[in-house]
Amino acid sequence: MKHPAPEQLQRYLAGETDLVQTEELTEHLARCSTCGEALALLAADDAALSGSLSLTEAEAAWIAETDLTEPVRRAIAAPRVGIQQLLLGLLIIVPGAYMLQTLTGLIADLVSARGPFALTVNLLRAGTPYLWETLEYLFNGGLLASLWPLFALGAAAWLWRRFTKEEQIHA
Amino acid sequence: MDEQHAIHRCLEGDKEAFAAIVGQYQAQVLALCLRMTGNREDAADTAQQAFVQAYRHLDRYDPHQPFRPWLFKIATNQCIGLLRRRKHQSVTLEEGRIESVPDPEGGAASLIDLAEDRERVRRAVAELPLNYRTVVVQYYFQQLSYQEIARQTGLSIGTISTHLHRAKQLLRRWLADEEVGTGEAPRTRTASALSGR
Repeated sequence: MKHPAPEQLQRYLAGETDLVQTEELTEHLARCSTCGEALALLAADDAALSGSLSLTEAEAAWIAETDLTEPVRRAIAAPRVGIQQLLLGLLIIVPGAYMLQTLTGLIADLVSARGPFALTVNLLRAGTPYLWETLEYLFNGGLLASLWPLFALGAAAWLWRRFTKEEQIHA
Repeated sequence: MDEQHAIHRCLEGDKEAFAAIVGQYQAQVLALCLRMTGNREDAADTAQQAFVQAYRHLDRYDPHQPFRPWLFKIATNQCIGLLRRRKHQSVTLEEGRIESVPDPEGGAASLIDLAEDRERVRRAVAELPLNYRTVVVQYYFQQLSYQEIARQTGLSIGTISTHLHRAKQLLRRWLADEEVGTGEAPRTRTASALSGR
């Protein structure tokens, strides 16, 4: 008499055998007490596992009082910074920093009375000497012009905060 | 708001509509994650991540299929990922390299006979290798059929049956050893159970 493997008995117990296998196993179990006992043990194990894995009262209570709605809502609402946002940031920051550098150069020309602003600036400088000396120091020394990388970083930081700031949850 | 309507609105960009889905399934997902991870903190974390991942990949959900198995598959994968990162599991047993776990000296005693209470059985299940634990939880806790487990895990019916059988052998061995009082740690038990020592 060929006895079925334990895995086969397990499948028989679970109703996962096909018609032919089911018939053969049923006939065998009717004749073989050893396999009948093995099947009974498998059934007892199944009942033990099902019962043991069911939720306890404490676990059911914990689940009932746990609400994931708000944490999930917050996690979903937080925008994700992807490659698109980073590229957009670079496209804004790099030309913007260059434009700022150009602007500071223009202001330096203005203050130093170079180029087309010479007459106007000379008249203003005559009237406000201390102010113009300060501006000359700042711009001719290249101080502000050399600060444009800091402006670029500041713009990047602002963009980062803009993209990672949580959306307002509207009621 | 019914489930499919909520999903449709989520796909249109209404994030608030997903709250209805969370409310509907959070108890079941939490229960599954609790059984898989074995503790409440990890269960809450993985359940939350499961919903977030489900929302982010909602465009991949086939509306012609039921939503619950799809969501539970995500939750199971989150739990598996967490447990693998934590490395709390004994080595994952790969098919083809496993010798049959020898039957313990416990003989014909059932699991509940060997374990004096259900808590011991639960603790023992929590120590099973990850691939066995997943199938045990899906079959005995979620009450899924072999076909449903096969769809979720990609395993064959035969493999599922083998996993269940060997999981029970391991549990029987551990619980019998506890009766005798060997004092072995579960991870040690897994290796020794497999080698027949």
